[in-house]
Amino acid sequence: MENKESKTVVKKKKINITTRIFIICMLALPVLNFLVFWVYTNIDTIFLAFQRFDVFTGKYKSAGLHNFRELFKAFRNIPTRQMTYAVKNSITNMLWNTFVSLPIALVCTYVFFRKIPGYNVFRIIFFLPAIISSVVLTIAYKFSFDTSFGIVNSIIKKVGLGYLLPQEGWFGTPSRAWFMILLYGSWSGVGYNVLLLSGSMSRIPAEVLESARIDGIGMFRELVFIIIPMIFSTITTMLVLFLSNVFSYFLTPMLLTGGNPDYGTYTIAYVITDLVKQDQLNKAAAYGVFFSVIGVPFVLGFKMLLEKLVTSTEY
Amino acid sequence: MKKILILILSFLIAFLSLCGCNGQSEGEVGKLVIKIHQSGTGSGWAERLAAGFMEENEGVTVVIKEESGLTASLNTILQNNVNLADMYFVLESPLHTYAAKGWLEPLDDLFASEVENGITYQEKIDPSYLEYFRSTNASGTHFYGIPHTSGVSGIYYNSVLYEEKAYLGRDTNGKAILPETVDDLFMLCSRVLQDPVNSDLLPNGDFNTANDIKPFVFSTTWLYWDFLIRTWVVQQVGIDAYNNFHKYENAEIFKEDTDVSKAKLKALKVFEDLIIKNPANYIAGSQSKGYIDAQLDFVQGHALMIPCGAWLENEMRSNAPEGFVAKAMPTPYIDGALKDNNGDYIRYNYTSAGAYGIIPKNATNKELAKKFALYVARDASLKEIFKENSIPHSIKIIDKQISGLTPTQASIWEIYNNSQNIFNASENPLYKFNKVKFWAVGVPYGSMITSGKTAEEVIASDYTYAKNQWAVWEYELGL
Repeated sequence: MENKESKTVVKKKKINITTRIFIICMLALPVLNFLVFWVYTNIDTIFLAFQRFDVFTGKYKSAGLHNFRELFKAFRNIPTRQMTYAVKNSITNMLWNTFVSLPIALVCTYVFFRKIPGYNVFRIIFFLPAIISSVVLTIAYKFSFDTSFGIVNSIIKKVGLGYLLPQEGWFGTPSRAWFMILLYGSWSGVGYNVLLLSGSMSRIPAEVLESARIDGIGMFRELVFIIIPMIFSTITTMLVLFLSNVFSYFLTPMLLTGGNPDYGTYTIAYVITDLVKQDQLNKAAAYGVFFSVIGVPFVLGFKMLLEKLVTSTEY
Repeated sequence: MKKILILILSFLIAFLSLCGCNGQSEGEVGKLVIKIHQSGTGSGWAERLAAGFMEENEGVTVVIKEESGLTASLNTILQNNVNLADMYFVLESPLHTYAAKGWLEPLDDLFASEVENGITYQEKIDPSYLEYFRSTNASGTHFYGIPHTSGVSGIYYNSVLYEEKAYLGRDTNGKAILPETVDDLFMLCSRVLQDPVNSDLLPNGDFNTANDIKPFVFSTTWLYWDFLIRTWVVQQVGIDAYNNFHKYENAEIFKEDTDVSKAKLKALKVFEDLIIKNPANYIAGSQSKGYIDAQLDFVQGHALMIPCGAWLENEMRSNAPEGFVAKAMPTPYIDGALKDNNGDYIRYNYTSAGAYGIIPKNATNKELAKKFALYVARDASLKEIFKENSIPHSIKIIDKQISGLTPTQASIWEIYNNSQNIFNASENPLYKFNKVKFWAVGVPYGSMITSGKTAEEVIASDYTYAKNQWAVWEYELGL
């Protein structure tokens, strides 16, 4: 009897050691990831922001606030206006996503949710851009609007509206090129947004909607007064994502226009990416630190404000 | 206690995993791995030469890998120091920063080695370009880069159409005359516009010229216009003054009343007259196009000319319709261009050379890589490279006899070997470390065409900007 008990204890101990090793191994990877890509990268970035690279010694030396002073100078840099465009574009992108892309995604999601005739066709049309590589998608989009080969121009010419085509091309002026980028963002992003919203909408209890319909509610009022309040936690997440995009959005303009024309399609993140490409790591780090200092409290504050303003619905 | 133990062990495993991230090379001894940036230069030349090199060196294997975006990722590759190839060929990028960080193998022994017939590697490089590869840093002054492509950059034209139309008449051999001066170029543009090629006859008897051929197409890769503008600058001031400008002694070199600034202004004025004031001279929306779209327009016959480089033929090979032939045109002479003692214009060619090769300090087969570089520098190899990708190499060919060239290649070969070639190189660290450039603010053509910046404003803003930034640039480099 005693022997049996001691065996069980040994077995328990063995299981515990195996479990511990398993936990350690499973934890090691995320810990490593966190240490390298978060702790090290961020600490190094902060140090880099206050340094300069001495080409003769091959070492980084203290530069005080020099890189930050250069950042503020960049805002006043009249010759290129790159930073002015970058800040303006990053903010308009957030506003566009909030007031144009999000409502479009909401309406589309509602159409799919209510299974309005033809919704399957729309579903394919809207989801297609979400599953194609963004590089391929940007090439296709840009080519569609090419002045010589573009299908859009051909169609417009065929219907006799050729005189409406912009002489300098769809990407030929800073404002129009930026508008085309925003348009691309809505088109390519709608599938992803719909995916987020439809997951949330599908969780709304059927009885809530049924009782509203029995009361004779119309589709518009159902969407605005019942569905939107019930999925507002998801909308809040999306709005916070749009806001954080102000500091991280660069891939689309980089692929579509390369910052052209005349620096008019740069964003904050694209300026930083460009500095890294030009091997100006210290300046890039200073820009990153500066915008993080502004951005983080702004994003967190916005999230807290939304959570305070709208009470989340439990169901 | 147990939790703390788990946490400590997790950190320990994580750190031990990092120990794997030390310097490692992709190559094995005797297996030379060469990575090439995917571009118009292609990698076919390397494949060809690798075969000959392996034949000559028994037991050696050469592996060629072409990668898109290699230029942009080279910094990370060298910094990570993991899975290094033995040699990299990339486009223009911060060579001297890599050298200063101690990531590159010094190549002085390669530069002093004999290539063939008693000629050393260094002797096969244009002296004005040699400085491009030399760097001074903590370990002294050494050569760090392997010369790669040079070029013939300027105007390329649709030669089949040009010969057919002979817009500027024919010479005594019946060949269509090319524009010799900038005035001829303006004349050519107006004749192209007067002589419809693709116009449809409308029911009312008029011609719909909407789809007609235009003199030019270009793209937002504004640098391509620089090939022409810089040549026009050198035509006016001469190559010595141009190289002198590249010493970047102080901000005053950008002052409006210097010879180079005046030459820049005149060249920009030509650009204004040719393009900005005459939108009819180019395909509408050129300022919206990527370089591939513009090149497609050109090979599809929508425009007679394109500012481009020698890579055009190689890059557009699969897109050009059968029978299409593009040729390089010597850059027409600007008003005030210098002449030699015989009263003939001095012909200059802007090479757009800047691509280079490197050998990482921690590569496995460094000596083998240098041996391959010497093999590439032989006349026979350089000719093979040219035949493969139509781009002249920045290592000189001593015996210039060559056969079996395509018409495009023949035009490039003729210009490259009968012009004074313009290379951009400077001893000044401000230039080497990408602080100051020929255009202080940046290549100006995009601002001129999009925002209406005038030639005078470009010159003035360059001076102001250089004056304001000069001390900052010096401080940043520790000068």
